[in-house]
Amino acid sequence: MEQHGNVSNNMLSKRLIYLVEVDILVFLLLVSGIGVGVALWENYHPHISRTAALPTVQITTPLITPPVKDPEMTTWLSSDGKAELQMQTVFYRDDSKTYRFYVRDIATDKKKEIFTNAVISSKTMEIPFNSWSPDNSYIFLEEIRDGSKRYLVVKSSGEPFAQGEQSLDVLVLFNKQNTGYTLNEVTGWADPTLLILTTKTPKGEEGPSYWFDVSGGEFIQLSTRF
Amino acid sequence: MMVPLPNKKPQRDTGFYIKRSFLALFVGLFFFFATSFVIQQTQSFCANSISCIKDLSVNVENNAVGVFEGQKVVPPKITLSQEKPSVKPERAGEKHIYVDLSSQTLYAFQGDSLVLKTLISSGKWHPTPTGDYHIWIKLRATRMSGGTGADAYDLPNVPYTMFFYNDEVGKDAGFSLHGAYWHNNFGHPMSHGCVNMRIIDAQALYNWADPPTTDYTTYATDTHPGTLVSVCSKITINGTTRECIE
Repeated sequence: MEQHGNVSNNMLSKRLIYLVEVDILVFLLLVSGIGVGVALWENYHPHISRTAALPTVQITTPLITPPVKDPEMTTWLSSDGKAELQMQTVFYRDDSKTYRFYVRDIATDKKKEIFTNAVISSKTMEIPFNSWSPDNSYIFLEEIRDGSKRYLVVKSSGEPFAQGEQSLDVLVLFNKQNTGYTLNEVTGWADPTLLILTTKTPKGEEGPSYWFDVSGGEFIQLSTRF
Repeated sequence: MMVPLPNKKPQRDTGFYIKRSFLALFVGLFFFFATSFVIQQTQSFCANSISCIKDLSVNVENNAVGVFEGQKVVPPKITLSQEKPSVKPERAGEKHIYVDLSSQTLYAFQGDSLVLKTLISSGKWHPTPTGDYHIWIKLRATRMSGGTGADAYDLPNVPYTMFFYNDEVGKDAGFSLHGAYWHNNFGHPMSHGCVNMRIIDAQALYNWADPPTTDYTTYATDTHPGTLVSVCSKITINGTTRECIE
């Protein structure tokens, strides 16, 4: 009897050990499966951080009206034919325009943007015949509104003037002189830095001519009328 | 026995010497002004003194500094060895250059075709004389000087110069068409009698006009006469009809 009891105990122990081994194996398989599943999930789905808040992106409508037609290009050679001034006009739906000016070196074909001017619908810009200074250092441009002209001087290198200005407004600077005359016309260059100005008296008669020295910003009244 | 005469010297006071000095000064000034007047009366106006000679040849001075309107001017450098006379294909038709002084515009026609139209600067300190002329010499570059006082000028390397003349305004008057590097005020009188143009326009005209360019100095000949140049107070152009008002 006692021997029979010992045999039964041994069989029970072996059964228990077997069951425990199976449970451990199932547990390990289950854990491995979950691990592989999580790894696959992470791999195939974009990682989203659950701790950081997403930034808010605000989409706004652009303020600049898109151009309504292809830009126009006007070119003008310097007197010696060594450089070319290019004026690109971009037209917008509200009739405003942006003028971009470039200088191209004829020998090297290198082009540089030197000046940009955005104008309202009633204004236009033109390159005058005598735009280039004789040594090609400066350029003067005309801005026209209702027949009256404003004259802008820029450096052909695109560099600013001494006070940091990108352009000099001849009309504004002349009016500050309080000469008693009104600016009639800028005709051209007397030398590499001297612009020739004609004026009118308050009665509308022909006034004296001036030189405007663009390098020093001075106006010089002349005894000769141009 | 000879008795020596006493050495008598006339008594001359200070007033005598002052009077004599004034007289000498007066006579000197009289002769100076009289001579200047006679020279002025016998000489005709010369558009530029250096060019007012009948024998000219190309003159390049790359290191010289010019003067115009009291301002120093640096002339463009010219390297003749790097240039070749431009030979353009000939079109048909007679060549004729018109200068309209009222609009400061130059027209170059060949037959009925307009070859070039551009703004020029004619005489301001001395008028460009109207009339029909012929080009008698073409110079790739020359020096021009003249004027007086504040209007004096001295300009080396004046490019693409075409001197013209007629029976009234002779070769020694020195009037020409040429490029101008010292100013950029075309469309307005700005010269001492010549016809100034942008350098690129002068170059185009120089290469086109007769006599055909054979060297840096080209004279017109009987077989290759110079192009006709009409300087007009005003020009009316109607289609193929051109009327020059002198």
